[in-house]
Amino acid sequence: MSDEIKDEKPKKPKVPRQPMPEQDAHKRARNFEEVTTGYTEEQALLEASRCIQCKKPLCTTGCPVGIDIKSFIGLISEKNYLGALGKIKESSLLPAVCGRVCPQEMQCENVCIVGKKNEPVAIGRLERFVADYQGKHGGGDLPKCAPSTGKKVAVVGAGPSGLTAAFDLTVLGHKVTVFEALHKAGGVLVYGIPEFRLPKAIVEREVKVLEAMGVEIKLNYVIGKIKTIDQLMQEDGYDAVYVCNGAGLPWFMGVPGENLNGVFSANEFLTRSNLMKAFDFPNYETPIKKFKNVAVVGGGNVAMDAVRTALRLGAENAYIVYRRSKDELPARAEEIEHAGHEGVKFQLLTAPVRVIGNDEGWVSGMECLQMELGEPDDSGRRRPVAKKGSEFVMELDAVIVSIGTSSNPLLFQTTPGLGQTKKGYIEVESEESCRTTKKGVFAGGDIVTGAATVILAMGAGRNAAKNIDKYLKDGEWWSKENA
Amino acid sequence: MEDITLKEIIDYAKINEDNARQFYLNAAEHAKRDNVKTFLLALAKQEQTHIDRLNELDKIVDKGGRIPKPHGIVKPLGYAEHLGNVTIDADADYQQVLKFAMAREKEALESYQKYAKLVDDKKAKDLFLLLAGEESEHLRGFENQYDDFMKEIENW
Ligand SMILES: Cc1cc2nc3c(=O)[nH]c(=O)nc-3n(C[C@H](O)[C@H](O)[C@H](O)COP(=O)(O)OP(=O)(O)OC[C@H]3O[C@@H](n4cnc5c(N)ncnc54)[C@H](O)[C@@H]3O)c2cc1C
Repeated sequence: MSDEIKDEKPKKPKVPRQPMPEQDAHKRARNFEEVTTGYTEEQALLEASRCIQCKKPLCTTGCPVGIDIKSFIGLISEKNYLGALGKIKESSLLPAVCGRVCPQEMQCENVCIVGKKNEPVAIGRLERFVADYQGKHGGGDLPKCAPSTGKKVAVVGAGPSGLTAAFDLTVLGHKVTVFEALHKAGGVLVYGIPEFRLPKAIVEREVKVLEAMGVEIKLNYVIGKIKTIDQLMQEDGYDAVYVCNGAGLPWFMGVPGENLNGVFSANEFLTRSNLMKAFDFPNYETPIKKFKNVAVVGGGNVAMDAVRTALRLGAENAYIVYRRSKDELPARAEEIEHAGHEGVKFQLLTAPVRVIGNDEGWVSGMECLQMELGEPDDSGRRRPVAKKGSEFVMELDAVIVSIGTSSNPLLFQTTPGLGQTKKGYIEVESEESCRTTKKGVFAGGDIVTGAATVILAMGAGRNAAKNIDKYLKDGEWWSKENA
Repeated sequence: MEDITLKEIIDYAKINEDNARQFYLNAAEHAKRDNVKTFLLALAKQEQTHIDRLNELDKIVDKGGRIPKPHGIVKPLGYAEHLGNVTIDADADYQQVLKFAMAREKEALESYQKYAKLVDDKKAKDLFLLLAGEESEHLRGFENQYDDFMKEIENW
């Protein structure tokens, strides 16, 4: 046990952790409204009172961007909600988003000292409360920006990383243009995470703030197709470029039948539903076929989002098909629990080997193999082993593949000098500096780390802004040979 | 099966390994993705180490020495079952190359096991089993890599 923890002598909080109010599971499984409805003011005050205001808090060390959690919770207890929000915003641009989607149980709440003997303080829920408070009641000024430096920065991708970098760079006095391939800004926050977990109005509100600060956002603008990074710098006069285009290229299973109608990547399925609002067809233009029996292959948060979306779109049976056991499901515990309550069926230790089609070329089933966990190997891992002769067929009319994503090769193919890692992501000097192998070009977020989290992508955007600002002042670069 | 000398068996294995090495080199030349190119070159190098190992066995045979005893088959995880006809083209990604490599090792393992059953000569049988054992280790290596890869990409 560390000294910090010994010092604190956690007292038993007088009140239990406040539960998050949520829609009834049966009802919500068929609508797209937000599952959790957020704390009331009374609940927020009760929950804030559970924080023991440690002398040496660990929660901040558990937060990837180091939010001063103790102080913001203290401000909530004083009913200074906008003050609390301001405190969070010193380190994080999107509290309404992070309060909803951050895996706090693995971060700040995991190290909360109250949590050593009792349930940890519900930090994420409190973060969401103050952000929603401002959303409802208004307040909070636009940030003050430094006088113009006359420097221009291009940001490629309007996901959480790009939005954060654009914000910080604008505050520092630089002129920022964000280039976004899709017709809406927000990245995964708008095209991936479904409305029932993250209402899109929240992201739109944050994007409007950026625009009000003077950030220009060019939509439907694919860098690498319309303009290359070199053209941005050489022809359009951008002094630096921040590449944060995410890792949105889906992996497929590579099994026969994967090109049948009715097989989707989770990204395509979620984009149709979220961004194109297919769930509200014909009010919106994009249709989506109603499927009766849907299998989502994969066990992460994206898979949970896809399977819960399939249920809401009317599936009678929605399955998670995952090759490992329940204990290894990579999705957040809360998402797995929500999915289970809503009626999702878990087909675990199951590996698809072939998608089967009917005469019209549509999915009619999927042949799978049963797996079992093998003996622990040298690394202690129990790998799934195929059971001989265990083939069976699931009757399905849609298969959604959600086994992971990687980087899109477009920018590498069109940007000479942009280094690539063995795993296919952009090579940087370090995640801290965000400097790529090409002078003036920085990179961060999922395109550097591989699929990670919103808060890490935002943290990268903040690092990038700091280092771009430095580069615009001193023009210094690094060389791989000297590194 | 007709009598086959130990040298002939080793030559046959060397041709197999060299075919694989050439295949990976050729695929690397055409691969569009840098990271896949690097992986294919590493595989070609790995095949070269297998050829080196066979050359050592060859020398032992030349000197009339003793070929090591077969050390058994490493049980595969079964990921190479049902792979179908995997090929590598210029657009191939890391996963496709891994699947190809698993399919190739499985085929080699099974052919050595088959020959081991067909020959009567004890020494030839043992040599085939030794080679089968080594292929089973390679297969398991790729299966482990495949499982690690699946684990790694499935983050969210
Ligand atoms: C369905 C889903 C659910 C998730 N749930 C969670 C969660 O609950 N909690 C959590 O913390 N994380 C979650 N994640 C992960 C998280 O969303 C990502 O780690 C984060 O969004 C990465 O941010 P980013 O800014 O690097 O990239 P992105 O959010 O991917 O944004 C990149 C943007 O760049 C654009 N772009 C791509 N190429 C180009 C180009 N050539 N030119 C111009 N623009 C381009 C894309 O259209 C996109 O808008 C989830 C991811 C998915 C897919």
